[in-house]
Amino acid sequence: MSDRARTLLYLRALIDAGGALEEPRLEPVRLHVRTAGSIPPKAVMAAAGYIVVVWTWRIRPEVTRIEVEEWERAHARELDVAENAPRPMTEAGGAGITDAETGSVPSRSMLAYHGTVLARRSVFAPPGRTVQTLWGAWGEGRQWLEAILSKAPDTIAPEWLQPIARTVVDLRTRLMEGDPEVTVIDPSLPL
Amino acid sequence: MFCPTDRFDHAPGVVLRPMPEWGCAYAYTPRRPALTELNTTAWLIAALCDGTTLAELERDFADTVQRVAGSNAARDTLHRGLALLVEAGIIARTEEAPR
Repeated sequence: MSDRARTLLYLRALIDAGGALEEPRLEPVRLHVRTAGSIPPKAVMAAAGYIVVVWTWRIRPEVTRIEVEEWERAHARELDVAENAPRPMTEAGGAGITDAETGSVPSRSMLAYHGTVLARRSVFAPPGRTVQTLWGAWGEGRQWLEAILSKAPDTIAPEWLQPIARTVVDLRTRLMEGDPEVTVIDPSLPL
Repeated sequence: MFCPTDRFDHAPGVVLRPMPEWGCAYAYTPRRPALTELNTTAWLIAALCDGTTLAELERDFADTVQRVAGSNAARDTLHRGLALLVEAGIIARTEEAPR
């Protein structure tokens, strides 16, 4: 059987399984590079008590990648406020941190969104609909992160966190199928 | 508007990469550098275009989707999809030269 015949057979089965003929659709692929959301070097993370929280979750079948990207932009916008402006990172005791690689004092937001990416491996099916959303936090940001991911928006203080928490609720209720698998990466803890 | 004798093929240089596990395909069009996602229906139409005439495409497309769409609906969907693919530069249309 030729590659073309195999592809057509697969498409026939896929369309039959869907039970309806979808309107043909073309969507431009936007490639995002979230340099502002990059995760700090490991040594800096450990010194500042930086934690990374990973949600591994399935996208609802009817939700498109475009909708996830729109959610991302809205979420990132809410985090981009004066109260969360980047500031020089400090250790838990308040002493400044110097990045051993660059010799400079890293400046980071206390609460950061690192992006939503396709999960490389997952116990969930089907592949391609499972993604990982990453947030990072240091200092007081650790409590902020816990609040936006686990509390009802209206109950959260300080108030500027509430719109951020609402976008998280939107993610959970509109885009996500089931509950996320939560992984916390704390570089200060031994493996 | 297409003629039954028009031929459709991938535009020169276009790379069509199926992503079966996602139920879609990606097309790269080097002439207008862009990456485009094709849903299942658009992917099927693009896959059928290998120098075939519109009449052959209508027959093959209707045959492939016969369990989910009647022949009229299939033909209309095919024409809309072809128009999108030609406009995006993924599929090239060649008009049959008059005899």
